[in-house]
Amino acid sequence: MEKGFYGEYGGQFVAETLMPALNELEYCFEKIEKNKQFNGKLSHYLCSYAGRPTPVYYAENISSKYKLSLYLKREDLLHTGAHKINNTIGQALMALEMGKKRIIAETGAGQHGVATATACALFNLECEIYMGKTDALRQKVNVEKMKMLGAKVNIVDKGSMTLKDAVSSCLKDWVANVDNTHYLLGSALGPHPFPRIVGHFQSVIGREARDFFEEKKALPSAVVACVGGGSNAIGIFKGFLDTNTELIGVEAGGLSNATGAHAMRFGAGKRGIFQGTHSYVIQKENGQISPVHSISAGLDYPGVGPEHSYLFDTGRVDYDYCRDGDAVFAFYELTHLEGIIPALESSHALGYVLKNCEKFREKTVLVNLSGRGDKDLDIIREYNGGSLV
Amino acid sequence: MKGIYMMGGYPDIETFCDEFIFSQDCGLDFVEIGLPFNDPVADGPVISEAGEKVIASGVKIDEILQCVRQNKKTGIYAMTYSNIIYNYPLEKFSESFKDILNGVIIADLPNRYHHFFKDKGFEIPIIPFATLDTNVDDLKNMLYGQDFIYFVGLKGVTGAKAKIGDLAAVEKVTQIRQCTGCKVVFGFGIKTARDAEKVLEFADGFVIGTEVVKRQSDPAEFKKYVAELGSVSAQ
Repeated sequence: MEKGFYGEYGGQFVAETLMPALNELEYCFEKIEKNKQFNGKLSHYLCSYAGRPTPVYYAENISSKYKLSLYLKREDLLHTGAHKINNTIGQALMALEMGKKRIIAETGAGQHGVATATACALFNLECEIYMGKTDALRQKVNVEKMKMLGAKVNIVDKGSMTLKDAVSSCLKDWVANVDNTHYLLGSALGPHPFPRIVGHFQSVIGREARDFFEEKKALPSAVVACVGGGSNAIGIFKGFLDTNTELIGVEAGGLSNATGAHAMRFGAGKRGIFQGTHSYVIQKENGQISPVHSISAGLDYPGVGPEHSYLFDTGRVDYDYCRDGDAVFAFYELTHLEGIIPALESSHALGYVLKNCEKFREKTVLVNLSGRGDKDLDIIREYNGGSLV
Repeated sequence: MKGIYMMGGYPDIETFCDEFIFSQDCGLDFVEIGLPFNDPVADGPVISEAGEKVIASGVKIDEILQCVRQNKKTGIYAMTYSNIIYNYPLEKFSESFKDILNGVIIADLPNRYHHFFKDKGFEIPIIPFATLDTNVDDLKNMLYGQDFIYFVGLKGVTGAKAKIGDLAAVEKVTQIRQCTGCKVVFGFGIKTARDAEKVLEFADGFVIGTEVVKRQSDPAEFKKYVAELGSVSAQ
């Protein structure tokens, strides 16, 4: 396989002026990936600061109601409330290695923005976050948090004013400030080596989950995760790629199959080159990127990480979808039955399992509960026409 | 080599065509035709917004290049993003336009990935980029008879201001010209005819984009400005 590619997917489709920064990043990553001292430091912060390892919880009430054995990988219990911090601490430590004092990052739901601002506060790095205006409005609390943590938040009012436009703005900032700035990309997408780096830092999720089931001497029948850019999914899948466990990535089915009403890259996209990588992209016939929709700001993205495209083509992972309504239903089910308020992103993975519970009857299913849902209360309230209960 | 960049189909196909015809007869050596993409990560606000208007108006690549085909007198290079060509798709783009395009300039296709297009049957010459960081030996390996090397004069998006005549850039351009024997055209950050004159002191050519696109919505202004660029000569 060509370096920087997963099968035919991946690559570095960026301005020539960014190539030295990508080379530097790749060089740094190869240096630290297996470096004892670096990994010791990373492990120290992940455990004593972020709260790893996270538990795998047997959701007994849902299991009994839906007649399956549901386990949840509790990434929602991490500091800042989502798996994003696994990657931001890793990349912030890399920025220190490279001597870059300024960090920029995109954010959709705001979780990656908060996790980046947190790591920057911890390591005394200057931080600027780009966030689409639509997302900033629907995730106000996270905007406030980022500001409190000392980050400058740039609201992007271009295009669809969501994650896609935040990534674009980051790429533009990076190309102008590449000498002193590290782009701390939050998902397993963009140009090589980002998919590899983010996948690496998130693989801790899969490793811990695998250990848990190894100890029980029975692997789960299926592992299910939501797929926006795909970092939580790739993180948990990596623990099970070499097993017979069925792996299922759940995309945002949005409102319907109509163009602009969903974010199903595998369901409705085709191959394309978008934001640095060759992957599946939701686009029009003429190559323009299509608008997408999801109730969840973190899944509302027309592209997907290249490794997922490879896993889709090879058939190792099945990609399916969950509609907005089914995700909200799962959000409430978990809240009521288990006392856990999940992020709307993770609610898609759960919603898929509940909707298809017949398929999983009497089977062991592991869902990656990638984040917690307090950030989503405004969206849920609006969805319900003004009330939460 | 004196060149301009025009956003294809902007502000509308008729005005674009009229201005393009003018550009073919005013002393310029080449024109780059922008084919718009709605995620233009290398472009500043002027070119991004012009591109968005073209997309919203529904003008197609074929209409833009049809006007070019009928009126071409100078060198013509299409400047766009990977996905536009990739999804045309590649082979069809190559087949349809190789007779009118002297090359393509793809903002998000770095030199290392030209093979990604060429291996899939893309036959139009892909203009390589050079920057202050370019390794000249690597660049030499990219050359297969393209008309020129596009030197990106600044780190940033189109429309930003470069310091023309910056010593490091002059030295790099000189080194590239000597080692490759290929012409070097300087782009990004040039604003005025005076800037263009300065560029011609150390490079084989210049290309001006943002300042041209700004004037495309006013044909009289466009023609005055472009005629001035066409008459620029090295001091």
